[in-house]
This record gives sequence, C-alpha cells and structure tokens, in this order.
Amino acid sequence: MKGLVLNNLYSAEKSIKLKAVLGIAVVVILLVTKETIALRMAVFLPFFLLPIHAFEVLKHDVKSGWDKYELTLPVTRSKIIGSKYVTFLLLLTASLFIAALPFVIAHLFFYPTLNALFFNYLLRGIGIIVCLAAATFVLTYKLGTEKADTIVMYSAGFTGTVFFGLSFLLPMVVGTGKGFDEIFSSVFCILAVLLFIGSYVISNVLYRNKEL
Amino acid sequence: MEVSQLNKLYRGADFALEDISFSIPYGAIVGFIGENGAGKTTTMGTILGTRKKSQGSIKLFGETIEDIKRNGNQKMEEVGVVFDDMNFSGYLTVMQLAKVMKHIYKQWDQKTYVDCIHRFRLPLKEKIEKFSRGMSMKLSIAVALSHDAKLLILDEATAGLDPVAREEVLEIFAAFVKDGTRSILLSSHMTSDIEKIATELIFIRKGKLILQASKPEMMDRYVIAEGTPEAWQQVDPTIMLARQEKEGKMEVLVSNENNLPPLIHSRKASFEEISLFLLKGENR
Repeated sequence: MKGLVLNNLYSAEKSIKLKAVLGIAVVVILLVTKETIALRMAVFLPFFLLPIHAFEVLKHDVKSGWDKYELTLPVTRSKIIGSKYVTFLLLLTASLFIAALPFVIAHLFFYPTLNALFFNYLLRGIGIIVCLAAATFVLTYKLGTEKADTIVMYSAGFTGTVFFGLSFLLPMVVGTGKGFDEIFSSVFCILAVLLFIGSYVISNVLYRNKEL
Repeated sequence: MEVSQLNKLYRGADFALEDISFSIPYGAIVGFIGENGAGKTTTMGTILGTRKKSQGSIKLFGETIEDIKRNGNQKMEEVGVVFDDMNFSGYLTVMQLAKVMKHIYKQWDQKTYVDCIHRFRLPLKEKIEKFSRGMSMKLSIAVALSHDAKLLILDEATAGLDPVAREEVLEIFAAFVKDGTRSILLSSHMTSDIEKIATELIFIRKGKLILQASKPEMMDRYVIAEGTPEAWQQVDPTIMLARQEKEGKMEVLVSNENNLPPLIHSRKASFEEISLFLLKGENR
C-alpha cells in the first residue's frame, strides 16, 4: 500500500506543499490578532486546505489513466481503496499539526490559547472534514469524478445535515447545560469517524465490481 | 496464459465477446489483430481484471484469475502491462514513479529501469504530463520491463512512437522472449509491427475469434484463390477461411492450396492482404 499512497501524495505534492505553507502563515496571522472569530477560523482553516487534495487525487487518477492501470498491479482492490483513505488521513494529520502547533507555541510563549474554544473548534473542524470525506469518497466511487460538482454539493449537504441534525437532536438527549459545547463537539467528531469507517466499507463494495 | 470460452456481455449493448479461446505459449509473441471495437481491449481487460468476465476461464501461469485475486493479486507481479492511453499520473517525475513502483513490485529492478530510461532518452526530472504520447508509451514500456515480468500484455504499445523508436521497442520485445521463458500478447493496428515480431497470430472480429495460427504456417500455407461460385462448390469448406465477391467471381482465403480444382487460381498473399481478408471478408 505504501507505493499507492506515495503515488497519491506525489500527485498532489505541489499543491500540498503550497497549502501547508499558506495554512501556517494564515494561522499565525490570525493568532496574532487575538480576536475570537479569528482564532476560531485559525483552528478550522487548515482542515479545509489540505485534506481536500485526497479528493483531487481521485480526479487525477481518472485523468491520467492511473485508475485503470493500478487495477493491473499486484495489489488488491481493497488496498487501492485503503490507500485513498490513508492518504486522506495523512493529510488530516498534517492539518492537525498545522492547526495545533502554532496554538501550542503561542500558548507556551505568548498568551493562553489552548482553551475550550480551541478544542471545540478543533473537534468540529475534524468532524466536518471527516464527514465530508465519508460522503465524497462514496459518491465519487458511485457517480464517477465527472460528477464532481454534484458530489461537492451532496457531500456538503450531507455534512450540514449531520452537523445541524446532531445540534438539534443532542439537546433532547443531554440537555443544554454546562459543558454542552464540549459534548456536542466530541459526539460530532465520533459520529464523523463512524461515518468515515462506514464510507470505507461502502466504497470497498462499490469498487469491488468497478470496471474500467 | 490460457483463455477458454471467454464471454463478456454488456447490458443493453450490441457488442459481446463470444467464446474466445486461445493460449500463449512460453517464448511466443502473439499478435492480437482486429479492427477498432473488435474486442481486443475488452479481451485484454478481462484478462487483466480491469473488466469482469461473464463466463469462461482465464489462467495465468496455471492459476485461474479467481485464485490469483484470492491470493492478493500477487501473481500480477509477473505481468507487465502497457495500455494505449496514458498510464501514470502526470504530476510525477520518472524517478518519483520508480519510487512508487519499488514499493509495489517486490521484484522491482531499479537498474533495468534506469537503463531503459537512458536507452529511451527520457528526462529524469521532468513531470510526466510534459511528455509526448511517444515518451509516455516508452515510459510505460520501461516500467513493464523492470519487474521481471514473465508475460507482457501490450495494448497498442507501439502507437505514437516514431519509426526509430518503434524499431527499437520491437527489438526489445524480441529480446524479451528470446530465452523461451517469457511471452508477449501484443495488440496493434500496425500490422507491419506484428508482421515483424509476432510468432503467433490471433484475429478477432466483432467479438469473435476468427483465427489463431502460427505466423510461419500462415505465411507458408495460406493463399488467396479466385474462381466462380460454381467452382468453389467442389472445394472442402473447412479450408475456406474468409471470402469476398469480386466482379462475379469469388476470392477466398484458403488454408491449404493442395487439391484445389483446376478452375480455381491461387496466388501467394502478403501479411497485410491476409490480415485484411480475415478482418474484412465474410466467413466461409
């Protein structure tokens, strides 16, 4: 699987490097402002810069013919799917570092940043992009990359439905007392991870019978 | 490789592969000839697993493709593939591609790869997207030759190559099978390429295999014969491979000119003529 992941990362290498530098710069600038809204954005932003390239890789694969060629390699179809999900997780981890590292440094040397707001928005940022990935992968394997615009719309709609659906339903279960924000962020993140695992299983089933 | 009674149906489509059976012996270069849409790519796709077969059996090195899949597709280590279109992501360089392949093929041979790249005069640091079609094909061939494959499946692999490069690649293919332990299945529109290097020939038309023969046998024995329809009625139909009407007479490709009646006149035919006859003529 290492070779497949490497291929995915090389395919998006230039954009990943560019977005990583951009992400760090923007997070640092936003941190300097010390504004609450800016700090929220600083936590969120990296998750929308890097992991989306895992979806772009799927388009590159089709455009270059690699999607057909990789089926002839000595690897199983589930490893091919696995490599796409692992690529996403690697980019998500990189985003996590880009979001968290400036906050940790700022907290240690300048002013307290590692507070409830940071952790809530970190979990929500992770939840949103993981949820988006869960829908995007399945829809791409079902509809094909040529329906990219439709897939983006449906994935965003799905993520919004999960997020706002949970924010509507969760108070009925746990109430809206002290610590609700933390509970909501944690539950949303866990739910997104579960959806991501489900998405991996569904993508495998869809890809098993794919013909190219 | 053995393909037996291979069928591939497409829902709602006129085209289907019907009962395709052939084998590729060790040491052979098998030319796979057919018009566009005849079923060459579909046949190769079902062999390689990019398409699902509807019926029939495909064996690679004695193992069915179902068993190969069950065992994690590892047998594909021994199969080198070149498709007629692009194969690799355009954002990689030649050396990045080598790093990818090194982690995919256990038998990856970096030295062979680098030698091929130098031989084909491909730039090491340029992105593949900047390559011409010919350069991309050369790169695909370099990869196919660099993991100790025992079988090469090449779909229009010589397309897009200039005459010098084509000659060079054909020489490499001939050397590849020379020791008798490896073989090649090569589809090409260029009958001249196939004529140059193929040892066996397979002709396919509208999803049906119409002939498998060795090239020397075909060139030695097959002739085009001409006569009236009445004269042809005296001929054993099993030697009549394809026919076409021409000015009230009937031209037939026959597999054996012995015992043809005196009213039928035969002549030797070129490889291209025989190929065209098989692909364009009517079955007997």
